Amino acid sequence: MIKIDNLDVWYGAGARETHVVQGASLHVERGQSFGLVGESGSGKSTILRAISGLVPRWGGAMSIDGIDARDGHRGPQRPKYLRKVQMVFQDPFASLHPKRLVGEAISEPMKINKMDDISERTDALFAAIGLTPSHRYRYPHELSGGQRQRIAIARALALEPDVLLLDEPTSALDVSIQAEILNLLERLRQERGLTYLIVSHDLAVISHMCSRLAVMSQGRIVETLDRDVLAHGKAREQYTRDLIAASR
Amino acid sequence: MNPLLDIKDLSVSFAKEDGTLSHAVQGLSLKMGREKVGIVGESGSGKSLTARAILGVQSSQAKVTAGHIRFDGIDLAAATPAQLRALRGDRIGMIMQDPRHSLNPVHRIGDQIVESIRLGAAQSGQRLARRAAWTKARDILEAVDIRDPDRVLQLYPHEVSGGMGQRVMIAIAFVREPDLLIADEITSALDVTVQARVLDVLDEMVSRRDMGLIFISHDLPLVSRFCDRVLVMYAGRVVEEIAARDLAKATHPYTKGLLRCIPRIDGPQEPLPILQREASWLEPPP
Repeated sequence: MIKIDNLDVWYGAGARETHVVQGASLHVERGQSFGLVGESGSGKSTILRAISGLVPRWGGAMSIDGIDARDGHRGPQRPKYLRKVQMVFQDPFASLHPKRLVGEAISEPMKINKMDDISERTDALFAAIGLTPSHRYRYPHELSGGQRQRIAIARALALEPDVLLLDEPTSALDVSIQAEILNLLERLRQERGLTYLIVSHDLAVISHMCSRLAVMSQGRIVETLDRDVLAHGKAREQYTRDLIAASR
Repeated sequence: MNPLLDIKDLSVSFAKEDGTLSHAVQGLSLKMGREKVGIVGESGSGKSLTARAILGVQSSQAKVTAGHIRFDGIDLAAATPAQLRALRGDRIGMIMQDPRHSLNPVHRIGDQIVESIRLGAAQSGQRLARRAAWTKARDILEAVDIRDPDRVLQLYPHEVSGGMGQRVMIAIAFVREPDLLIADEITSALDVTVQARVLDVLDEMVSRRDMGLIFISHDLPLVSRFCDRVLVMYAGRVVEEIAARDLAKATHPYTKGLLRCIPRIDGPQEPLPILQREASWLEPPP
């Protein structure tokens, strides 16, 4: 479903140019949940941004469900590509418009894409994320952090995507709320056959949610391994083992 | 001998729009010596407000009441603003979560440490030359495990990483060698490996100078490793107090629930247990 080969991303130009992702490759099967873990600045979020078409300059090859990312970002395939891939950010307060009702936040992408039965779909989305339709008429500041992240997830699901890109989806939340959101995400993945690419600095969150993961450091993938290998402490690279030791 | 800090029945409340009070901290008591005390709980449980009330730096809307708050025998509630100012920084220090908000963005890190050193010297009636203070600043940065202190002294806050900035904040807090240090979520924004280094530095400084430390965090496992004992707060109250190493044997359903819902690297990939909040947790303990 997600194919990335030899991805390079650069920020800045000339003397200020930095090579933030260097030759990263990863393949994620349909319905799989894949984790990207690493410290801040390791380039993990940049990979998500690159898939979404949010980085100006990149090299290598990326495709989603067979659609080449270059056609998907700019070319005729753009509407189709962007409906397939949706993103959920770390801080739902920053990613929701403060003066729009959250119901509008969820229905707007459906209006833009001229979908039918928008009102019914919005109600169904509220039910799917464990809120009631009455929450449609709230503003983001009237909701708790966990409820706001649920809204962000519903908005990402509005266009019925195949892939969710989740960037530190629970880092801003207390552990009790994190547990609820992680359970919700896992249930939605199973019910809807979604494919997840999850970025987190928290190895335990990745290990809980994913079947396979890549460990990043300084723009490179240092190791790609199965979750079971990680859980049994059989990581191959020293960097991964250090990360495991520091996470206990 | 006086305990280092003795708080009896601390409450912090805010006036609501309808004139009634909303209690953010209720009936908190704490007696501590030169030890590491952790305060844990979720956001909004009153941890940071407690820290601010001790220092007397709560917002002007907050109403603080207490049986007493004594620091080394000094009644903080009865202290004048000038007496409080003299205590803050000199005998009670505080470090907050984000060094980028605590450091002045338009001054070099070196100048900010030097200012603190010279203020400290002035308070004890000495005059310290700038150059001597600069040398001292350099030594302090070395003590917090910064390898090239000369370079870091010349940098502005935005030019250092989060972990480096937090070590600078620890350095500044230790300049005056306070007796009590309050650390509020100081490692929450840091990567795990950096977190470990910052905590090592903090631990070394606290043990070597025989200080008291109040360590506020939402991270229960971390507090359990780092502190001597832990207060668990829920909705403004301390619901449980326990030796840090016994945190796994906590008895309050809230503490147990919080610990259970944390995912583990080698845990089962099954739905995480959800914390079921009980109305009885909001009642004062019998």
